[in-house]
Amino acid sequence: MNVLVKMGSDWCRGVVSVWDRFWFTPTQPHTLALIRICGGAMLLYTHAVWSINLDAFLGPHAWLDAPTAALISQNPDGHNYAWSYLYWIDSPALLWAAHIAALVVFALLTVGFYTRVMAVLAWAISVAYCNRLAGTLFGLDQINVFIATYLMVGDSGGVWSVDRWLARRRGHLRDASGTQAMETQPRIDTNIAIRLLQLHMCVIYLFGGIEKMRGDTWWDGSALWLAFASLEYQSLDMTWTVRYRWLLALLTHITVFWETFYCFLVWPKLTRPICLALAVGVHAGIALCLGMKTFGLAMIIGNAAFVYPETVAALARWFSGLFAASSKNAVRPSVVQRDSLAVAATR
Amino acid sequence: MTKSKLVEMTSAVHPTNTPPTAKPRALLSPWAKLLISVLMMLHLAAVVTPPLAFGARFSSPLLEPIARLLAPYCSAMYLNHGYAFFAPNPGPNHLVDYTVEFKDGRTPVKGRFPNLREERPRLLYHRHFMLSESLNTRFAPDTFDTEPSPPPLTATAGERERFAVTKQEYERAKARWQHARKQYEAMQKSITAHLKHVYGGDEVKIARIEHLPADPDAVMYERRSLSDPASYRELPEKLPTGATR
Repeated sequence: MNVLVKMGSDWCRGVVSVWDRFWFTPTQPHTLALIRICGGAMLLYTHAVWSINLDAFLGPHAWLDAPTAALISQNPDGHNYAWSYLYWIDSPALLWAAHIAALVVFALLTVGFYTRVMAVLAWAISVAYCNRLAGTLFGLDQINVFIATYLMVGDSGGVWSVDRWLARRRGHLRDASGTQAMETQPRIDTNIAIRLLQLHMCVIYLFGGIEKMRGDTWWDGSALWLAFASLEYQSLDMTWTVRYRWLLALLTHITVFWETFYCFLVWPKLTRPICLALAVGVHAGIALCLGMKTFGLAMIIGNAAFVYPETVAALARWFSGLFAASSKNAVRPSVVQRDSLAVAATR
Repeated sequence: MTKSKLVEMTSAVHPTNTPPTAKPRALLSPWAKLLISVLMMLHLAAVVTPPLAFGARFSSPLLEPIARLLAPYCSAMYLNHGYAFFAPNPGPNHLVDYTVEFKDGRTPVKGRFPNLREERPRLLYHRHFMLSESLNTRFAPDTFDTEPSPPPLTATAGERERFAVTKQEYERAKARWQHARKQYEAMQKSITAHLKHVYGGDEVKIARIEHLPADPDAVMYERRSLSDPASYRELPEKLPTGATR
């Protein structure tokens, strides 16, 4: 009996230790900052597009007026928890003012100015737009809000942000000796945000896969044909694939297998790169062939949660090195130019 | 890419190999961790429950009460999604045809949305596409199934009990249908009012159009176009007599 108690308590201690390490290990901010920049830009673009026809979607004579939008979100028992300040805005001038303010918030989140405050505002605004615009939404809006939600949780402005730049300028990032600028801070809240993003991505893919498994066409290999042959989605004519049905079947099976097992395959270091490469492939395919560039990109941004911050930082350094090298070359005269200038000077 | 850069990036894949660049901030107390853990678990339950309830088609006696309990949080946080992208099958697409008529004898305006030529950029087109899809998804016929007949007077107690349960289920289904029908009618009315406002018309008629997916053999051997007129059909507003939902 004592052996069983000891085994049980060892197991519990192990679980607590793993739990603690999984959730509460401080993490560098680079991954979350990358998600903030890309996700913020996506929020800005998505909402900027409403400006083209703001009155037709949010005005008093919109396709779906405010009472209809509220009714769509209402439960059969009469409760409606889908809140939005946009239900109450009728005046075009006020609507435009609120819309421009929303775009400013998304822009400030992207550049990381008062990042945490902007993250909370961006989340509230994006949820308000989604609830008011019920009936015109799709996966993109779900992913936009999902990213905005977790940007509130962690410190996404810890690097590559105006906040960081201002703090450096004001000398808030000096170390104890007061001379050297401190490196970025690993933080627990950053880790919690990344973990929640990762788990939510797993839930999205798991249920996407399970729902597909209910359909015959995902089993008989014709689902991708149905997607490619869908004129309303099509942005790149892929109907030539009808001659290669084995290819259609292969892509169909890979999609459903990858989506269902993503939640298992994305965690081990061995399979994570394969899983993420497939994610980029599938979503780039959706973006290019099925006319949903925004949705495809948003999903790729969500997948970035699985890239280590150290990798993101190293990649950023590599890119900035490339950029610096190319701008140096552009400014400095080439060897041939210098030689010809020297020859001209001696003449 | 230089060798040193490559080494730097590959070592970054395994963060445990890299030395910490700065001291972490003050760590949390066990009580704070416990509180945060509980909150995270509740949030994750709210993330998982809507797709589970959707997968069960809102019929699971276990998931239904949990989903109802979490509904306020899920709605407020915009978490109530099934994540069934292109599932269970990539199906037919739905469009809306409209005709705006004028009492002063002007030629009626006819149109269809979504319309890629008029709605740019692509995201704006997609918004119109989702609008026509939503109208179709929310379609509920104007009549509901007839009420179940009560058991005969000679029925046993068990049969009467079973009937009471059936009647309860019928009432619940009827309430859901009434709600869905109300939503559908409101959408129809709002779209019609919008078109009237845009064109200044007097009467607007809208029709749901289904675009069936192309048969691969017809595309391959008969060179049939994806926009073949035969692949479009108008959907009826009333179900044929005797048809069930």
